[in-house]
Amino acid sequence: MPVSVLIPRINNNDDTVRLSVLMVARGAAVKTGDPLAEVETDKANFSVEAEQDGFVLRVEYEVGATCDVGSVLMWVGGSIDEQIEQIEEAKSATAAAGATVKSLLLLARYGLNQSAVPSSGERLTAEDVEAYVRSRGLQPKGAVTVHAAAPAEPKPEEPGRRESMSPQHRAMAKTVTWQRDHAATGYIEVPFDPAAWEQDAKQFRAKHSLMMDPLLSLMAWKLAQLAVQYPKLNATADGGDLYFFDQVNAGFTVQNGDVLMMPVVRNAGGMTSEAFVSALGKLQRQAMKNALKPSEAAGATIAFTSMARWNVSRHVPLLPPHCAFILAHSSAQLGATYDHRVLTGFDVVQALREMTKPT
Amino acid sequence: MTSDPMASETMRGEIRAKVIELAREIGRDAKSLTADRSIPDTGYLDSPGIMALIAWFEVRFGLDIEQEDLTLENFGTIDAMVEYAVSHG
Repeated sequence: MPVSVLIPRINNNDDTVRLSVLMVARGAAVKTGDPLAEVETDKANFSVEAEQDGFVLRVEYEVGATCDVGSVLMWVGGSIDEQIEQIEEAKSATAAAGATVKSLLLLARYGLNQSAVPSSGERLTAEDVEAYVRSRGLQPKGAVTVHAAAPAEPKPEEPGRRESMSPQHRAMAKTVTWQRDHAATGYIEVPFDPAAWEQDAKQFRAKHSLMMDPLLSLMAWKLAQLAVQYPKLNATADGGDLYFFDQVNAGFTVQNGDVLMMPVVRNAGGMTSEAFVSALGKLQRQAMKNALKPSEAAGATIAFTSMARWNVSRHVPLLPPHCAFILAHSSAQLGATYDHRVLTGFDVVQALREMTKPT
Repeated sequence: MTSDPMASETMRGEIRAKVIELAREIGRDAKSLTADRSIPDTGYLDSPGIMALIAWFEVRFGLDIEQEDLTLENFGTIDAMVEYAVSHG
């Protein structure tokens, strides 16, 4: 049976919120704790996370929509083929039971029985349930976990002009705050002579008649292979545990105008270099066309970024969510930002040394 | 896509302007680029720059290019790109 994910209440005085970021689409596989969306008011923002593993069956709102608190944001089912009709049946059943859909969803969220909550009219409404919950100080028990993001930032005091971030910019901003809120990071770098890599890329390019230099793609592919060889590179910290991902999903940063995006090559550890270069090339173009699907821009378990084209001598990247290692390629250094909860400096140095040469 | 010579010339101009713009982003001057010169060989654009050029080309001319089509033969020069757009548009 599909489970609803509800629009959370952020502030007591706001009955609606704006859907600012949607991280999944219909058909996406989600795991417990995965961010699904972000909602906001003028005062704060919250991320909505999956409380169970499953598949997104339907999303009820589009990014930018104003959503009623307590209404259904999306439906998550245990399998991809669960029928939406089941949802409709549930809606019909609720209507027949003398209660609005919103109110029944709220009842479920708080683990309440409909008969326990007094109705102010002919049908039980969400407002009735909310009033009941407030009067008793109850906490939700339902299928949604809402975690507060960082405390609202102080407002700028100097005069200025306000401009909304694009959805892509918002997604970027959210991604880069994971490190601030969750990881314990370190940064290490080693000297890097690109000659051997450049020679390797030149041969690969000639062999496959490629339009573009595959140097960075080949380096990212090798990183994925290293992650297979050294599983800690492909792990994250989860509570008191290490969590080793089943497969290597390689994230690769792409600059698209003023926004940084990270397309993700899934199961990169199981690919040949040829397949990886092709798959990454396709995703890079999609990113540059703003045409990445949500599932293609999420789920990185290890990442690669390069600023060599800007001739910088050093850059210290931020970790994407749930990544313990992001490799930073510059013209004469290879560096890595890493999550010290997962990796030691020795682990990182070993990986970087491996990355300085193609074989 | 039309094979009208004037339209093709307009396309050449647009592509060349885009190459110059993308080259400028990485501090290179591509104003001397001609339509028959190999873009990768000139060094005006690096790999991400060429990728950005192709992505722009797809959007601008309404094309959806297969990864296998991304060859020097099809996209190595401005002339080749125009020819590709005309024959696939």
